[in-house]
Amino acid sequence: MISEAIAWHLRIESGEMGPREWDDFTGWLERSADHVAAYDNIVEADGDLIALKDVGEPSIPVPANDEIAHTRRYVLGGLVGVAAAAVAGIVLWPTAETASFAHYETGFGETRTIAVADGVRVEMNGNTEIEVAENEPLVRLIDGEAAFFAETGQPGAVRVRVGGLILTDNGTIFNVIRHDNQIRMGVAEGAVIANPEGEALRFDVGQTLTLREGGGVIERGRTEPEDIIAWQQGELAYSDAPAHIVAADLSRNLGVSITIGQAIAGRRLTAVIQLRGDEANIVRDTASLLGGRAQQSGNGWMISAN
Amino acid sequence: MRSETTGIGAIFLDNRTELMRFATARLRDATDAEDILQDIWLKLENLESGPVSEPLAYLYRMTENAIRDRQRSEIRRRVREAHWVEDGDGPSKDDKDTLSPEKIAVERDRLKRVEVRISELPERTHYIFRAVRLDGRKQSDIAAELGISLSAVEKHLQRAYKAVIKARLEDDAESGAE
Repeated sequence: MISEAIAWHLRIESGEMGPREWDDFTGWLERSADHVAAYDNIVEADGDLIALKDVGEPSIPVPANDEIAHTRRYVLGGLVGVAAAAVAGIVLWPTAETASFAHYETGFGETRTIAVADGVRVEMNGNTEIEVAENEPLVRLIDGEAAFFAETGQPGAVRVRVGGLILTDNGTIFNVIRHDNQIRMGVAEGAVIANPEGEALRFDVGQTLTLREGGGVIERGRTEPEDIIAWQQGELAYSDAPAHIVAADLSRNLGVSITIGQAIAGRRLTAVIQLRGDEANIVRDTASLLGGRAQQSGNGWMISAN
Repeated sequence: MRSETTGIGAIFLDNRTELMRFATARLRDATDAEDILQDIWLKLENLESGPVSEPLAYLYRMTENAIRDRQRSEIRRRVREAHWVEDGDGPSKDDKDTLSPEKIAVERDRLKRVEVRISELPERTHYIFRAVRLDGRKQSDIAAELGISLSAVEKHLQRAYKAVIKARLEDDAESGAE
């Protein structure tokens, strides 16, 4: 029975389930309370695995995408030596922020630089909303993407609040995205401390944080430091990034909905995508990098398997 | 309202019975299932586009995710009430996701044990498990790469999951006093 539960779990996570399979799964759950308990058990165990995921080991290149021009490749390795997992429940600190905030907003394709304090600035990507406190170096990222530059030589020069998360710098350039209930942070230089008064998780250069809002688990990952703020040069750079992240970044930057078909959803991409130029060309190029093709859909684009 | 609903919202309404049946089976409780579907409907109403290739499969997955989130916060609530009853003011809405440092330490320990278990798996099992579950690769890719059948890949994955579940069970036994 536990084997059946694992088999269902694997099918669900692989994204292979169509409506008919979900219906079969419903039938299996209905047949016995033990089935439900076994499945719950697997889901919880899997929660641990997700927590252990991406603990800083180099990823393995994907043979299925070998035809894609890899700009960087990783070596096979690090299968056993998984570093200690640093994952914790996120702590929501009571908001004692009484400061008044100035509101800034950018439209699609528009970027803007805001000075927060001496030696501290925020560069806003398009379609982004932030609030900057008037009397202290405190920034709220409401939605969108912003890169923070703290070049004061003093740690803690800026605090960034994103949803329930607080980030503070340690001599740092870092990038934060908040969109579609997901928070992502990457360190391009120096280090960042997440929730300094709580778990105080430290992220060093090249490390990333991902948090699904409401999910409560911080995932650590790794990327190339220069990929993190590549958007400032008008490009998106990826080292082994999952397709859904690429689609999310592209739709945020282009201001258009981009959907990924199930057959492509599991693919990963190592590439640099130029954001300048015609939207259709950019989406088509991305589709072929992912080994699929782009089609115009109702209100955007759909990338599906060939 | 119903007549104006289009896109994914319409698909939700057309298939509400099936989704309800799934959520009820999954939660073993029709009232909770109803709550979950209501929450999803509210989310869908605010969704401007339906960025999905298989909308019904997506709705099922959305339901499954909502159920998981609910179960996770349910566990947290119980932990919080057990730990902080003495605080007097009862649980406040703000600290819905708060975990005590002790609880975080316990979680870390458990993760470490799970990790050790994974590292003790036979090399091939370990490789396959990591590739599929941690790196998100497709089972068929791994099968092709290693020149083995899909069902062989699944056998390795089954073995790995069983090891993880075992590690968790041992863990519960040890910290049973909590």
